[in-house]
Amino acid sequence: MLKQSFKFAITILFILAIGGLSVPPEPVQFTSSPQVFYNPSNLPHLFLDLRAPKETLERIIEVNNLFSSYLIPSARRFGKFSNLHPSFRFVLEDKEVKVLFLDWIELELRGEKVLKYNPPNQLPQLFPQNELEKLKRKLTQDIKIALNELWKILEPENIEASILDKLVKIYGFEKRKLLEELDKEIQIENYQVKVREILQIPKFEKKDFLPDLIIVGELPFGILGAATLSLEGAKRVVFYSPLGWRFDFIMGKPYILMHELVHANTQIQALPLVYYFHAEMFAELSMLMADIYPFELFFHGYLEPVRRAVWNYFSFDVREAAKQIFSFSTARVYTIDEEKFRKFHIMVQEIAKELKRFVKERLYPEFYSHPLYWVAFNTKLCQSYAFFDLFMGLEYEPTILDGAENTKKFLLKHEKVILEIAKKALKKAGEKKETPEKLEEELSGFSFCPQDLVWWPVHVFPPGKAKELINSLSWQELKLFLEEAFNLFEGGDSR
Amino acid sequence: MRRKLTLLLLIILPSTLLVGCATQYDEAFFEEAKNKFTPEESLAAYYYSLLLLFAFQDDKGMWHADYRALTNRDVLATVNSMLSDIDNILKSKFWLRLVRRLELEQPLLRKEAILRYIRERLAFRELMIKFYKLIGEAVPELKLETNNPAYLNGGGSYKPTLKSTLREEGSEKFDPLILWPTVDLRKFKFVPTYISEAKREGKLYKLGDLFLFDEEKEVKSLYEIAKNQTPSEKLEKVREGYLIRAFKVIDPEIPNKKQVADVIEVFRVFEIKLDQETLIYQREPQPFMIGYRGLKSRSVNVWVIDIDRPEETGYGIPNEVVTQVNIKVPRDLITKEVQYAFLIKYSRYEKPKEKREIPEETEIKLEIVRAGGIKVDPWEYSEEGFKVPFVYKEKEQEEWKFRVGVKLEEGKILYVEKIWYRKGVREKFNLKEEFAQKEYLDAKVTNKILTLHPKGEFSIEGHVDLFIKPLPFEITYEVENNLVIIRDENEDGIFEKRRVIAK
Ligand SMILES: [Zn+2]
Repeated sequence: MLKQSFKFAITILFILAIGGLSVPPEPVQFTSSPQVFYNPSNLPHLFLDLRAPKETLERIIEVNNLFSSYLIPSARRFGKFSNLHPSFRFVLEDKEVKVLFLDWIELELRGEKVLKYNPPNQLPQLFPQNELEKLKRKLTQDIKIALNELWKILEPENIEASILDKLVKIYGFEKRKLLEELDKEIQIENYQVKVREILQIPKFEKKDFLPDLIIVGELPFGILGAATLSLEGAKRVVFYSPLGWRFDFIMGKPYILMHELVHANTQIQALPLVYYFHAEMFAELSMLMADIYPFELFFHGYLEPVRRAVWNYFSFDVREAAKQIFSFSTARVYTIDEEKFRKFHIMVQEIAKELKRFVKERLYPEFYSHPLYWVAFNTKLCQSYAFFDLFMGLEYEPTILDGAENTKKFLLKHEKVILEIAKKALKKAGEKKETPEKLEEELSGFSFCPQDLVWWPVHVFPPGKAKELINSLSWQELKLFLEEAFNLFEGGDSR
Repeated sequence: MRRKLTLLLLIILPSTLLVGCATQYDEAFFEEAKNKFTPEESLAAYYYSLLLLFAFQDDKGMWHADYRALTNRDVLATVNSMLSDIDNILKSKFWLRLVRRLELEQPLLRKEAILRYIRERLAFRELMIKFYKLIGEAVPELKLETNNPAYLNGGGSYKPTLKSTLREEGSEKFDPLILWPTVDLRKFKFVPTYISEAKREGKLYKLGDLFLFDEEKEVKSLYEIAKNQTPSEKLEKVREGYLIRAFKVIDPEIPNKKQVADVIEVFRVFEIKLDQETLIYQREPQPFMIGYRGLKSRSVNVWVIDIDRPEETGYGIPNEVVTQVNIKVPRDLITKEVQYAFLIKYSRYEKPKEKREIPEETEIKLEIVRAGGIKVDPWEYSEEGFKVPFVYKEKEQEEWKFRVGVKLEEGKILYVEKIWYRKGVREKFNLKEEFAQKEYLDAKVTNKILTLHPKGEFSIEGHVDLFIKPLPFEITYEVENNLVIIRDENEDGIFEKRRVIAK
């Protein structure tokens, strides 16, 4: 029984890099007399060929170049574990984090210690030993930035206070009494459990965002990062691919890392609750909130529900805007209308600013004051982001039909018809549709509603291509890879 | 200025819908709406429909989430689904290995216990809903002990104002208070309001008591003896029986001649042997079964069942509400067949145990089999078949000279045996098809009467021949210090195999 592979472990940031899959693999060649590459910069070698422009459009171009030059054929492969990978530990917020550089190996060459960069199916490169220090320094720095940035944009203390306010209002407790109540312990079977834990009301601490292990190594399909979904008390792992790291370098902030740290936080994305809401959207929204890169909104698959809501509530048609900015001359070449870009960019930044408020003041407090209720709601509608769609309506007046007033008139006039349609739709929700065989085979036994992490490949891959891509995935290799990765916890320091 | 870029990647452009393996609400909504509205109108209508169904407006026109828009059953279904997710992870060999590496097994088991706890509370609420619906009364509201008015307690300004056809599920609604451990479920007693009011006003009268010891089917009026006894742990339970007690609401203002009960309580009673001469009777403190008359019924038809024994944790909290039988007076429970079976079913009910098979790592074995190794078959074969070489079944008048045995292993009945004890012959029978498929909790024999207790069904009782196939599949007999087994494996009445075992 080798099922639920994806259900349990992997959430994947999957914005890009699908198109290259049709390119045939390049033959791998190793030079016979290896040369050690001298790197005079303080930056690790990974970033030497990249620029980190301040301007959004420049960034988009730079990101495009990154993915264009990336040898995607190699991306189907997973890295191989050995006991030569360098690793180190550091302590942040009283938590020890171990980092393992999977794509690097420590070697001795002509009596000298060298570092070999050896990602799967790419040409290896040799560096002097001090390259490792640079990698360690940069990664430690980036994790610190990611953590502080997350803390800054989410303002978890405020979210926590809003959740409590909401509970006070709804249940009629006094605040002090409520806190007492949430901390009350009751006996469930052999466990002492706090009321807070039963109701799944989160308590935020900085260190909860930190995993126990970070594995830096290339992932298949150009996946930029991944994280295990977990529970308090268990070891948590974040996978961070050099491609993702390079992407973060261009963006100027470790977005991919931030995204994965949200998944790693068991207060907000605990098993099995996390299967029942659009956890990817939650993780991605925190990236959208981290200013500078609101352009996520145009492309990111995880933000589809946000785009649609933005259209309905803010009248901004993201799809139309994207069409006007990017025009495709052939399938692989497009032109950018810079004027339009700048115009829409200002609007998108306005939207991002508004969404920032929405996420902190409505989305988190509403969802996390009654998480069990909202996941049941998603299940009923068989739609992992149904809660988000509802919350938008609690917060904003729709404007899509020529302004708020007209839209409201229309809706009131058609209330009865809308309810009739709703009734029929509710009945249909949850009806099973065709599923790629391979996926069904791997995940049989799991509920189809709501569709989220479990069935991610189906809604992350582009329609029409999903089936082919899912069937081409090497499940066996994935399983082996995970097994080897998690084995690191047994071996302790030996690796 | 326009720039040209080579794009090696496929940018996922916004699409109206996500593709998935099951129909989503939004998808179905747009499909339904496409002939009535433009895409923009559909979108506005979609978002609005969520508000109509799952939120409500206050006096100022502000929308608020309605935590009672789902049914209790909706939430219960999701909790069940989560429990099966954990179960799926823990019963897969591969994932369990990874889970253990990540030290995730214990946290998962803890989470499972919490979810089970939540499920129990939701199931309890579901039972409450079912009970009051069957009785025909409103389901009691859950309440928190708080000082301030809150909308969930019926106060404050949060009053649902919107009425819609879809939201008339009324009492079946989910109440978020059910998840708060502070709401003590033991306070809810599953008593119809008309009964508790009658009790308060002194209008509930006892109709009488009835004793029954089911093994001998005797009815004794021994309640007075039992009443004066105090339980002691040293005592041994000798026989189990029932005390059936009936009540009726009698209102002097309403003439009511019929002696039809409104409440029937059934207690377990034990006949205890203190010493050779003294028998005492003891009853459990609370009935395991209480029947009430629904408001529209002419007999007691709604039964609340608590299958737990006093020493178990769930004792005092009902497990089931059923309506399988109607009873007018206590005697009906023991004189009518179906009603009696109903009584027996629930008094002996055993909860199915939830047990997960934790996969073990496969043991590696070394087994070398040499070619041409000696093959031994202990059986002899004959086409005409083997027979018992003597008469062991007597003539009709002595037909009864056999005993019956039954072999039950792990819920399956392996065989039923007729033992012709005078000649030492044992016939083994398979159950008839309709009985063979079932899983059994217990099987008992009294003389030639076989009593089977299928899991989750009424027990069945009857003469052994009712249950077994007409011909035995195996006969064992003894000749000259040898035990002989003959066997018929294809049910053609010919015993084609024989095996002789020296004694
Ligand atoms: Zn993710």
